[in-house]
Amino acid sequence: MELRQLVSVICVRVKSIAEDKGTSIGSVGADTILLGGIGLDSLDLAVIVVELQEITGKDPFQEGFIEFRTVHELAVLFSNHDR
Amino acid sequence: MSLFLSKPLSPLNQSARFLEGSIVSTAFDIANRARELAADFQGRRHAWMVRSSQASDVFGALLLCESLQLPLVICHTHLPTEQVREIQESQRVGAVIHPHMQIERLPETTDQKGQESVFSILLMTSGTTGKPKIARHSPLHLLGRMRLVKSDPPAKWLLTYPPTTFAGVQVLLTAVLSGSELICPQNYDIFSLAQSAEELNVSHISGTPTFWRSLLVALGATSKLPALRHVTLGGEISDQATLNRIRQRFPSARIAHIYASTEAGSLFSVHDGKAGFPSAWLEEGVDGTALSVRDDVLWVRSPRRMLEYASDHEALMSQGGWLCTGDRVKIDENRVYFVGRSDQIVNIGGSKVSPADVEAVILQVEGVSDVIVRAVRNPITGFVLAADIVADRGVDQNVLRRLIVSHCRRSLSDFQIPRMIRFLSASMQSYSGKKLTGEKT
Repeated sequence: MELRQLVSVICVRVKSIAEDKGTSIGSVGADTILLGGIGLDSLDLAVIVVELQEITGKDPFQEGFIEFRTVHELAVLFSNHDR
Repeated sequence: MSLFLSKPLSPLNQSARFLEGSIVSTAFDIANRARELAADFQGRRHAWMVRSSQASDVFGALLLCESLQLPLVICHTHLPTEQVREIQESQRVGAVIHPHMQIERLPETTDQKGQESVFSILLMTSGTTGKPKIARHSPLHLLGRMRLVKSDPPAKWLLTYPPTTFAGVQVLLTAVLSGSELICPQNYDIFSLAQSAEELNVSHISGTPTFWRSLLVALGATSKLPALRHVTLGGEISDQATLNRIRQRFPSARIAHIYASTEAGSLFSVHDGKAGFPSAWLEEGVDGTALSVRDDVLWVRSPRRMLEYASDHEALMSQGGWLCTGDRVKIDENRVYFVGRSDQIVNIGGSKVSPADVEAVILQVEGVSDVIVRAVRNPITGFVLAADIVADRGVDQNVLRRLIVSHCRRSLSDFQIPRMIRFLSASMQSYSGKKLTGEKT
């Protein structure tokens, strides 16, 4: 999946999680910081990562945790990783 | 045994400070308030309960009950009122400490006259719905591994655990006994914790591996928390990749991962930067604790374990005081590694959850025909719960989804709520097999 598509998938998911929680988070884009006070918690982020693993069939965390901060940085992990 | 009061607070302990939002209180202030209250309640024989999310109240309650030599139940603040009432009755609680040390007197029962007069600390385990397990500890055991040494320069601790938990009480007492400052966040979400860590120059943080991974995501890209000197991980498996990431980000901090539980108490800590612990400890023991592996599960015999369950639960304990931890281990090249649980309990970000309990809650929702709750592995929180639902015929799945989410929010703690809800057709459900709650790989 292309980077642009991945960014868009993550943004849509962040918004739908916020809607489920009944919080409004305004605009979400590539530079949005995932745990930067937009109402997402660690478990929400965990769900997004699991879904990205399912959609792309890739697991950039095979060797363990890797740091990322923004929507874009997370998307990059899933677009560049080779199995 | 005297904790703080009977031998008045040492100058070191007195100088400890609690920062709770804009309110600052010293251990000295809190001890004075506890002393005043103790004078009002002399002669009354009943257990006490503290029901506050403020660390200063929990500390004040400990001082008060030490002075009165009575048991203290430290209550999780998220428990439903009905459950709290049941606990108050079963533990013969006669007075409750609410935020800002406000006291609520409960009607006395005749039973209270015969109550034993001993200071003990009753702590609830995390997770699982239904009746919480309550472990009775002696204060001596709780303080077992703490050192009364002032850190130089003075330490600033960030409390990442609610002060009503075993880990929270450990951090709170460690901070006070070393005359430190304890920063108590008013909100435990990761963004607020990261902000506090950055803005208040904290030097000591103890948190779960999930907390640390989330902190690395939440912190500013270049932020290295220059004041951070001590990093402690506990409550979950500390894996090598997480330890390495923390080491890279905070190169000058001392890193330790500890092994402890509400029941077993504080057992040992590992300082060599490696996951697991040396297998030699199985032979030699560590910090007064004997360790043994039986059928791939770790058993411990510790002088710091709880005295008993004060609740109606039975501990898995064998003769000679060996306690089954339920943690599965493997031994590889002179190292013992934790690999998961031996029971149906799932550790989610440091809290233990029973998928079966969560299934029972979801089955209460009208329109749910069946449900399987399972743990899905992920690199942030270790596990997250997923619920596979079979809906009654003709039920709108979107509507049912919303009902399930709102019912779970009312009935469960945050970490117990399945974050992934999927619908299965009845035929898929029978194919998948009922109660396959094992992790998905």
